[in-house]
Amino acid sequence: MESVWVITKRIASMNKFTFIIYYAFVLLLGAFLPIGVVSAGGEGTVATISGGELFTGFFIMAIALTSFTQSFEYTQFLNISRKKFFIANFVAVLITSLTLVVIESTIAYLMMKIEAVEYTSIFTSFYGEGSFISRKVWLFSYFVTASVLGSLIGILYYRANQLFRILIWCSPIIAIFASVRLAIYFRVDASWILAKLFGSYGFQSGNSNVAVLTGAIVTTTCLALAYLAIRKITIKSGE
Amino acid sequence: MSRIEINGVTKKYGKTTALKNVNLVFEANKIHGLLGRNGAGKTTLLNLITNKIFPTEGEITVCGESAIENDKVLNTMFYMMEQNIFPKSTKVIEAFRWTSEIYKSFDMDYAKELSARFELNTSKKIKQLSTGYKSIFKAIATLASNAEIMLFDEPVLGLDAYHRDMFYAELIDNYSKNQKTIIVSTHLIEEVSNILEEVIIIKKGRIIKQESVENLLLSSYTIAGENSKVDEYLKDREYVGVNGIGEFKKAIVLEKNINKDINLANKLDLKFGKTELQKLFISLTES
Amino acid sequence: MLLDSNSDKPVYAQLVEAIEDDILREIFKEDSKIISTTEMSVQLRINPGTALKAINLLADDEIIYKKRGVGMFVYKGAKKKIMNKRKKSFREIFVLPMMKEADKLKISKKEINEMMEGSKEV
Repeated sequence: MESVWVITKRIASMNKFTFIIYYAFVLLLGAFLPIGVVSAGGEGTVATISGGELFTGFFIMAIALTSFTQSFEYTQFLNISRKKFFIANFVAVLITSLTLVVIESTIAYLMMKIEAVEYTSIFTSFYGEGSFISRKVWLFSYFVTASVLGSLIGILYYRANQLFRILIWCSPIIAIFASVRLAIYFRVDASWILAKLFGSYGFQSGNSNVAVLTGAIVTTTCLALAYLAIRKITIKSGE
Repeated sequence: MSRIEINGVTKKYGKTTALKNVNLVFEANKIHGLLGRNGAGKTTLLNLITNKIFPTEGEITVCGESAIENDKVLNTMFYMMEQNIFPKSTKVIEAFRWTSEIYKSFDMDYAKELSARFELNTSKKIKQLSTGYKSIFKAIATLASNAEIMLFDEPVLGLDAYHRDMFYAELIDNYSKNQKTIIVSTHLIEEVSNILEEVIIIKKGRIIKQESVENLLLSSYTIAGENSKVDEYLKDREYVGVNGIGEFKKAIVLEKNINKDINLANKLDLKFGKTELQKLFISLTES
Repeated sequence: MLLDSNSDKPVYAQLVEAIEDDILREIFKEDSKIISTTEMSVQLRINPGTALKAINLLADDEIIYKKRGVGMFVYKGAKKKIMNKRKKSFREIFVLPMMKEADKLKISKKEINEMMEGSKEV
């Protein structure tokens, strides 16, 4: 449908500016860090950078979370059905994630070219070497999962009243606290849980595709929950 | 086709009932006025028609089809909401462009023309506009959308008298040129009374009157004169809205204009007058 | 063309009178075009349906005729027709109320005559 594509483009473009600033910052950092390090330590010093993509994932999640209101209300202004909005939002997530994979890869490539920087991608730290495809697929899956999760939290937050909003803010802490308590109560072996958790991300087997699968499952679950939450959503009063 | 049918619609928010068993038909190609006091349920009704909210009971159809999650039907309507929900850091001209992407009948030249007439700076961001100009932006978007059905919720909120008058002129001009159905919800009844073809009066979530303006005005008249003489005339007649100063008073008689007892009025030295829609409205919606 | 918000008459009736007045004053000349219903409605801020009703009444009375795709025109002889119509209701609308008011103020018929003699053409 033509209009789904139009809405997708609009939603995707809403955060353009924020991403530009983010990457300007990243590039600035990437440009001045080696300079600073070399000038401090003399020739031959090397700066080690790693984990950039991980951080970008968190950033995307935050953006997806906070931009829900704008995207949703834009579609309500123009009398677009919630179904269409839901689809367009997801397609926008896919496109944004794809674009970011390209940008991240380009940055990684540039970083590796600079002698003064020793760049290790997150993928390598987790899984060692891997084929080009499995690296990109993994990164794409990570970004999509982060976005969809962020979006879901955004939807729930929007729908929630004051009480539930506070609960959402506290939920990470509550979740950790509750699981620790429950684990102690049920005398669960913590190392067993951690092993299972890491296993689902393929850390033990060194297989990134396990993580991609887990990501797909998490994404699907989030989308299902998001759809249920969006079906009857209404605009919050007040500006 | 743009006939809107509302069948047995009830809307509850928890324990509060905003609309109770509303049965209404908005016929196509007319300007309808939705009149009611604050909190009567006008906005709720408009929100239900445009699927901004969902009915607790009942259904609403537009040309026989439900509007709920139905993009085809939703695209035939443009709704000027009281709230300002368009992404605020967008420029007005961009907002028009985004609107034209969804509403194929949107007329960009007309939008620019109207913006010039209202002195709306289209390169300003929406968040930079005053309350009045935010309304003007929404009104222009609605008019320029050329949608078959236009719904206006308090369109002239925050507008000065000059702009209010301009809005009415542009609304009539737009309506004359193309077949469309218009619903205007407002408090400013006297201003719009000449523009409306039909009036729907809502009181506490119920429809208490649906009538063409012509019939409404023909089905009542005012009588004025000395207190006791007016009382004599009003004996055995239905009336509302009695108002008086000292020895004289005026009342709105709820019977057909043609049934006026001219002889009796002459004998009692009373004067007839035309009902004002606003006065009639106030009387009908008094608690 | 203006509307009187205090008038007892419905809007369409006022509009009929206003157009007839403009024909009498030859603002709208016979066999020439009058303003469109759209212009009327916009100028007076009234519903186009009301303007249409007034126009239809004038057409029924054969004061104006519609030329498809062009507009509305004043009939030849419309001015005379309007004058005759108005003459018939002149007594009821102007004379009788004047007599009633004169009666109230105890003004004699002789005084009224004198007033009429002394009044210049306005």
